[in-house]
Amino acid sequence: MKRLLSLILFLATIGVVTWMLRPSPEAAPGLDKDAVEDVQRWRQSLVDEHPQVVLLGNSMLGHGVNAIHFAMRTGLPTVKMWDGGVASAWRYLMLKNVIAPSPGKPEVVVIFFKDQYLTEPAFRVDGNYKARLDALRQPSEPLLDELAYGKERRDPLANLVSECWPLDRQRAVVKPTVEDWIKKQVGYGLHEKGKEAVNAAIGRVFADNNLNTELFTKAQLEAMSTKTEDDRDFPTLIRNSFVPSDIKIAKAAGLRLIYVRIKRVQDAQAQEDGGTSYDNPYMKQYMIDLRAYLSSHDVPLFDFTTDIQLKVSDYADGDHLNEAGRLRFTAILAQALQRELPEPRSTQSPYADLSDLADPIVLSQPFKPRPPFGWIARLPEWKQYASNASDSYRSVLEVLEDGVPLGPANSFISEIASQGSGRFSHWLDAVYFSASDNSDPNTNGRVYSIRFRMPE
Amino acid sequence: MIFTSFVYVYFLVFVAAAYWAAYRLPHAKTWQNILLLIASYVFYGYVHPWFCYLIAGSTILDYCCGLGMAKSPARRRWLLLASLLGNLGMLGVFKYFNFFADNIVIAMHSLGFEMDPVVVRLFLPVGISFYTFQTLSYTIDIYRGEMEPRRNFIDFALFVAFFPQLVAGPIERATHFLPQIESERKWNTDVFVSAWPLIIRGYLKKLVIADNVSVYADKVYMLDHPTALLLAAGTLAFAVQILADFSAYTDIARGTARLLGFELMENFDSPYLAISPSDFWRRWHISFSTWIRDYIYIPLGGSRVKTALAGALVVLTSMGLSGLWHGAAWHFVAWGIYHAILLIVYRQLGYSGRWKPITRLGFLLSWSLMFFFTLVGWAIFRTPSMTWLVRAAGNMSVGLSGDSLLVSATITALVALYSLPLIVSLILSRRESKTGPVSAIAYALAVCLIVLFAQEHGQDFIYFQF
Repeated sequence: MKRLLSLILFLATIGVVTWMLRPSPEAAPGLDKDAVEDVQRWRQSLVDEHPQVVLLGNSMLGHGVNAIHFAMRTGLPTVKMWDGGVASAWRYLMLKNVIAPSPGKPEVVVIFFKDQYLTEPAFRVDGNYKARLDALRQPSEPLLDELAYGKERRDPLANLVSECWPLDRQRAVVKPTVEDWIKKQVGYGLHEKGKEAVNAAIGRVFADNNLNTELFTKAQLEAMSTKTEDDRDFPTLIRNSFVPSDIKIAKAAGLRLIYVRIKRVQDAQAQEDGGTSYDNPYMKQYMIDLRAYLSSHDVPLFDFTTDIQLKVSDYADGDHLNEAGRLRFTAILAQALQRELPEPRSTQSPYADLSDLADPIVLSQPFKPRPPFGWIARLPEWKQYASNASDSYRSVLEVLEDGVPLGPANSFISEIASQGSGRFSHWLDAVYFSASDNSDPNTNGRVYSIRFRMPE
Repeated sequence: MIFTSFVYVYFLVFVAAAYWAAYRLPHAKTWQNILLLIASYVFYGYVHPWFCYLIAGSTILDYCCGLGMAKSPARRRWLLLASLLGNLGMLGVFKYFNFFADNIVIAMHSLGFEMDPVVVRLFLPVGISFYTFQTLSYTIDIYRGEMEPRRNFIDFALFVAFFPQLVAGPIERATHFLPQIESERKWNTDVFVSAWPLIIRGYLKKLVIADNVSVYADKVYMLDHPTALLLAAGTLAFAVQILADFSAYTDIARGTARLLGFELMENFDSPYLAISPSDFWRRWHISFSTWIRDYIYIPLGGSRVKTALAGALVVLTSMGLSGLWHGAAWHFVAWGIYHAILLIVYRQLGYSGRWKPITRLGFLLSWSLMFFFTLVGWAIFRTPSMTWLVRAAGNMSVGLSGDSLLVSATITALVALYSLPLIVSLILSRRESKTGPVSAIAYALAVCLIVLFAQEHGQDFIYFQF
């Protein structure tokens, strides 16, 4: 009798907890609001712009290619879809769930990757990256669960538990909520600031440059997919990656797939030191194998790591090009890809009206301040050429001070205001800028004008 | 195969069902043992089948040595030596070869002789330290005349390979466990039911506590220059992690064994409540510390040695070897020697054995001091290398402000949060029978916590590496 009572109590408690923590019917629990908005925006951009080309990748693409110049050079309407730090799982879900099913799907999808990360399915799938993947995924994503999260997630028992027991689906909500509450209490207790202060402090203390990578644990190394000798079997690598599925999805949707390996500063440095690229023998063999594999599926691969046109001076940091490098690489890319791209749908080149804006246009005063050093001039008529949340490196607008170009372009608005020194950004319907000497452009007597940089 | 994988769930359900189905067959015990032996080899060789050759080799060697000692008492010493050489040789090759080879090269270099390092890429078979010690206890006990050798090879092979405790203990003694294997197992509903709280507690400790706090310990021990406060917070996280992780394995092992009608020994007795080093070693990894006591410390003279210096040397040797057992690295040896020094100092001060403070304040002070010493020990144990620890200690700032304070406080608060189930479980286990109504509610909540807080990518059990 006592045993039966215990069993009833056990089951009743589980039932009560499950009921108390049941998912809200109107909200999709656990989804990051910003990540969901990004996905909606990308879906909408396909419908609105109906591009012929989609460029897909992470911040290396974001910093590396200007979509407007690419479109003007190729004559093809182009949409650039990128997110910082994302890797092959994100590209797979974007292709499968956003691009392929879209009524405005393109004819060509260019996938950008670096080094061997194309065949690293479990790279960058946790933490903040998981929130972005969750916003993209369908309820059932067996391949993602298998390749990115390990085979356990694909276990039928796990699936059954997840489907039948709502509590399992609340993990994504309850755990972060509790941990955030703790951070908030500590943050307010010690600094009178919330969890943001704690998260920022954690970010600073455990920043990459403070960590000794030689001390990574086995699990961390595995998470970073460091190769062992056994893993260097290319057929196994490719079979356990999203590449075969990417190709299959593209073929089924009638999309032409192109892979582009982006050059990093270490490759440029190796060239300046007399080499051809930074690749070691393993990486060279990897690229030979990858090219052969993609070629057998009629998928072109462009490897720009040995391209000699991009120099060290074209880079802002290890992986990212600066403004000049971005426009240079855009030209190199457009030329290289030309023979793989389709004919333009329209005889009129995209952004044809932009060429009318190549000559400087004087900005009219007064400029609205954004203290201490930032100033704002409204440009609602050129909003379509401005940088935005989807592509913060979209604009090719230049700000001139007495005819001399200011920069860097596409700076953060907060940095324009706080640091000035000529930084500017063409963001949505305004240009945010600063004088070269942080003086007041309303009173310093200089002429401020804008023009749009045209492909050379 | 690991306890936290779904394949283990299928495996256990199948094995338990088949095992109790065989209960009604004629010669049930034999069939059950054969089934368990096959299951144990499947469990052990699931990822790397070649592991089975090693355990089979060890089993055959000790089975033959045991029988040989009974048949030819004059050769007992040689047969014991063969068993020791065979088992410790295998352990030495797989676990310590590169460690010793590296250190010989360094030593020769310091003497002015240059040697090419000999690096052999050997994969350490999980659990080899555990079953090697378990099977060694069998031959040593026979040599000492404390037990008779077993003629039934299946029973003996099952004793060595019994899957619930094969990979990370408890290290069972032949005198305790072989009789259970040799006797009939009768279905007992009470025993079967009592297994589940242990299993749930084990998964709670592993998936909710150990895996979640390990993130903080790992991060701190990856820093180039941690502040003292960060190192303290990271070490506290590791202290919780290692206890939760290791005792979780023991709980699941004991629970699984109970499902099959066996009783394994308890391995932990609230070790962080210890008030002295000797008290700590009576509570921490009990099956291992008693093994060291019975097969190394006492044979070396134990507490019977005549001088304090000899006594100290015996303790240093025993604890140094105990440290080395944990891993082929100097910081493990240093951890063992650190505990030896604690034992020696406490003994010299008269606080050894079963000493207990008289007053509550004395108890609180001695507990606090021992907990601090335990944390220092874990810092030595967890450090990536002695060089890192010395360098970190040498350049360390206290970090009582700014980011260091904020992050340390957050880590401590999160560790405290994840430790709550451990504390509640301890209180519950002391206040109520394990199957009472309050326990039923507590274990239901534990199941909910597992579902809500388990890391999606759990880590291996720490003691797998030893």
